[in-house]
Amino acid sequence: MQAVIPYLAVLLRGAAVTVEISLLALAFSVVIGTAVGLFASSGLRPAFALTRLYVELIRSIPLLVLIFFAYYAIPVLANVNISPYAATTGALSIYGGAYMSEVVRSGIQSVGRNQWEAARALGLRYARIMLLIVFPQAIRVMLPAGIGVFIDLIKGSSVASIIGFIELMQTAINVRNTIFDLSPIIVAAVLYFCICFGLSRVGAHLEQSLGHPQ
Amino acid sequence: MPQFFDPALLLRNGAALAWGAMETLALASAALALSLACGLLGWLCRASARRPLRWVGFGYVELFRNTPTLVYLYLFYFGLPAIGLHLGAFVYAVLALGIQGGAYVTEIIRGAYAAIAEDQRMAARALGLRHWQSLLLIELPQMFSVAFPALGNQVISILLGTALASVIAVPELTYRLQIIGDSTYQYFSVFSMDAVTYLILAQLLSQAFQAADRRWFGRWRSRR
Repeated sequence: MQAVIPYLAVLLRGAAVTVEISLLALAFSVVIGTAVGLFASSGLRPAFALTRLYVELIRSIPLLVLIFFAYYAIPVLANVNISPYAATTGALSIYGGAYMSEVVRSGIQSVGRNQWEAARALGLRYARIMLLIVFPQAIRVMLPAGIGVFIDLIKGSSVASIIGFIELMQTAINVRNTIFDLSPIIVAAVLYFCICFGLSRVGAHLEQSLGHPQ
Repeated sequence: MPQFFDPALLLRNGAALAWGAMETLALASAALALSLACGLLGWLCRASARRPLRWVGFGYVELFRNTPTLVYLYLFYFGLPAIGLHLGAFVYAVLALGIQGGAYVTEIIRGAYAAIAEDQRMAARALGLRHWQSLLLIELPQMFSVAFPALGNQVISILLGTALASVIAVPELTYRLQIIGDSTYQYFSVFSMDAVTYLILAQLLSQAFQAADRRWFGRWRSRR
């Protein structure tokens, strides 16, 4: 077990890379999720069908296959070079975006119809109702669920190790292949656990403190 | 020269694809069975009257829900042979996917138990049923109906998780297609085929679960 001690700093750096790429993917997921979620709750039937297609598609394909697609298939098709970093960010963002759009949609749905009717009666337009009335109420539902998506992204980013992106998982495997001991993988497990469990506690706390709307 | 899409390549490798899909389904079924067993055991721990057992159940759920599947695949793949357990990649994948899936199943069962009204238990007790009789005859059947949709999602999540087993060389669908891709460079063809196969399997399972749900539990669901 002590063989891993000289490598702890390397593993911690790996954890930092994992958090970094997950945060980047989270930012893109929020953008995609908000756009798709708004589109889905717009009340237009074709728009809703299109967003269902996107969400169902992403939910029926393994994340690994999405990453392979971005890393191997798109370069062959478009004749461009895609780095593991870009492929991972792209695949994780599209994956997270699908889940985030469901979070946004259910957040908007959690705000009652009467809020819309009252706002409209006051003469407010769509954009202002969404921004000033619906969003501040929906955020109470969206924030804890969004943290759940972030946890999924952190766990999902480990899949990027398979295309050789050196984040926490790949760092642990590299160290294992150097010292031929399981301990780096156990250290990686502990680091993943600390990050994700910590986040899930934050999510649970937010859920408690923000309360349930009606 | 790689093409946009090469159906001939996939036809030539039809047998490999079929075997890969079979392996994927076999892996998913075995992992599902193990996850149901682990989930039931995990829930019995979490719901136990003994505090240490409750802590074990809580630790199991939180540990496996907050770490990636790959960690366990590698831990079993590298760790079990080191202590003399040479079980083969398939078994390591079943263990990793099944034990982790069990953590989610534990929470599904816990949620279902909480959804059963307290008067059901009291009525069973009033009729003279013992604790285990009421659990087996009254609560579990109702819990099954409550948990059914969530279990359906869990089945799909295990099915998609099996793709990860390709990293420890279980010859399932993704592994076999990746090999074809590596030797022909037709990555777009093979990974579209891969994605479409998962899509079809997942949608079939999802539709089957919805149909079964309507047929078995529709009467009770619509009444609410």
